[in-house]
Amino acid sequence: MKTRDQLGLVLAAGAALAVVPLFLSGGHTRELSTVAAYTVAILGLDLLVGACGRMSFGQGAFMAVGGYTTAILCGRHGVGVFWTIPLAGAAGGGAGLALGLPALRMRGRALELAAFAAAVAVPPLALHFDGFTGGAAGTAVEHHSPGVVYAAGWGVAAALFLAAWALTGSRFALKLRAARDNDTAAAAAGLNRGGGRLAAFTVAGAYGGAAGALLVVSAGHADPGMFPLRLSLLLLAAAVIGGLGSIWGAVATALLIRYLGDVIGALPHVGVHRAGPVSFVIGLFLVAVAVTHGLSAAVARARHAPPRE
Amino acid sequence: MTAFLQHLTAALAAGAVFALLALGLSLGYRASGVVNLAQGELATLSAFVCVTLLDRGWRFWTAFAVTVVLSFAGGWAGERLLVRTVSSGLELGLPILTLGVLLATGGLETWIWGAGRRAPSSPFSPATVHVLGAALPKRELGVAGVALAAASLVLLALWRTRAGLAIRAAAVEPGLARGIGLNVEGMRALGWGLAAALGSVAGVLMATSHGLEPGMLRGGMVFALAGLVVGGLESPAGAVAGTLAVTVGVDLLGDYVHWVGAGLRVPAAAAVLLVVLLVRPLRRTAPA
Repeated sequence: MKTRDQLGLVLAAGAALAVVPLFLSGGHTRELSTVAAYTVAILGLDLLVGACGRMSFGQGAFMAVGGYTTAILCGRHGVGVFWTIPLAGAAGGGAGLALGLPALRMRGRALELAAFAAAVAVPPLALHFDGFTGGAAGTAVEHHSPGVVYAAGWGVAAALFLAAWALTGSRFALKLRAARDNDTAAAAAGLNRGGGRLAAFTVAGAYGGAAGALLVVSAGHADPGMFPLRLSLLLLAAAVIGGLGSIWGAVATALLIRYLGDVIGALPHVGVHRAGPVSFVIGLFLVAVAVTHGLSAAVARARHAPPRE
Repeated sequence: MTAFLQHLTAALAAGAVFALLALGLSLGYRASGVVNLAQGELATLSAFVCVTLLDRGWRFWTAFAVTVVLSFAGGWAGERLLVRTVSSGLELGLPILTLGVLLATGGLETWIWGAGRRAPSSPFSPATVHVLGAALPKRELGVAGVALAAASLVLLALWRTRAGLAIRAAAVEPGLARGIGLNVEGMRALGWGLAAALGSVAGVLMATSHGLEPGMLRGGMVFALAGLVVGGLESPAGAVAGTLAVTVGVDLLGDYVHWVGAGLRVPAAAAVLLVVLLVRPLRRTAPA
């Protein structure tokens, strides 16, 4: 997409977002705020994949870090809930840094294992340390009207989107992509790949933390049930579906994972219980993406292969 | 002493089940260079299939055997149809495939069988056996026994038979193996079939001892990953030993240190995984 087209798209989307809540009820407006939270989380994943080709199976864990930061600061210490959002981002960034440090020493897919384990470990942790987190019942935060929550959520999402846009176009990002595509050549050219990867994880974590804060703000409270493994998996799936490493798909796929259930529920024989079919459909789609990509790569290779004797 | 033996038996039963998952992960990794994060959920799917057969009145060990065979076939077919095709593409294709399978399998289970928990009955008697003064449940001993037997069977087959040698050769040096006429692709499919079969044993054992529900093995996967990393990604025997060690260690810690308790078992295993990854970087050998 040309930059002018990109700018046009951004302005159009911005206008649509500003206008939409005028036509919706309070409940729907609040739901769209959770879509803002998902968008920010997916943006973080896109940045990570785009920068170093790593997928994080644990974005939900960073969201929990950020979400509980907000809950504890606001619910227990009375800090204004909107002020906690950057702090939640910082907390998420710290966690990303912590996860990124092992990444410096590893090749291959080890990070996905660690992120997966973190995502599974977070709900039990939140449940156990109930002195901090309020246990199963969770912690409540300041309640705001749907309009305010919507504006805050999408304001943050818009700002973070612009930041991501700037990041992906920057020279730093070009260097990272070079490192991603050819590690050895990048090293030979003197690029600090480790530092780049660490930065990518920190940023992904920060976006995750901010997303968690937004989720807690729109829900009005934080509890362990809000950050299951399934959330991490769906967010990563959305990042893949939206175009790996491309920030442009983030809003669309965030809407997808929020509303696919409602769409499927409208089908006659599916009925009320939608979580199963939604996961199934999205999972199947991912399998299809992986398989067709593999097939087209195999076909391309066959086409370019030298003619047999 | 008696309490220790009881805790140890319970921990071994859990550890042996998770070790089967880890062994499956190791086989899949050696074959295709990817850690199949969907292994636990596929094992759960096998358990659902087995329970469906049991609900129709099949006898336990018959249903179990059929489930294992079906799962083997499923794993074998999965490698031929999916893994092999995806391997030709981007490096990220395989993790995306495992993510897709993980989501789809969990979703399928919830859709067909519902999210609620079932309690299929155990094939072992509820009686206890007295060892050194401790009353050890036959159920836990049975689970540990079957799981360890299955793991041992596969490890023995890998190390003591010519077919096993072929599988290992195909995994470690595919180019050379092809050169001497081994069917490397077939060996890979076999590896994935074995992984699925091992998973099905784990799933059924877990279901009969702890109840069956979608996602029941996600915690177990964390233990299996920790064990896999401790034992060395490349070593199937290491994966089994590592997982036993991690599970027994963490469970006993939970039993004796009350601050840790039962709720922190999974986070403790995750912590072990992270620490080992920090201290010992993984090396990856990609299959040719």
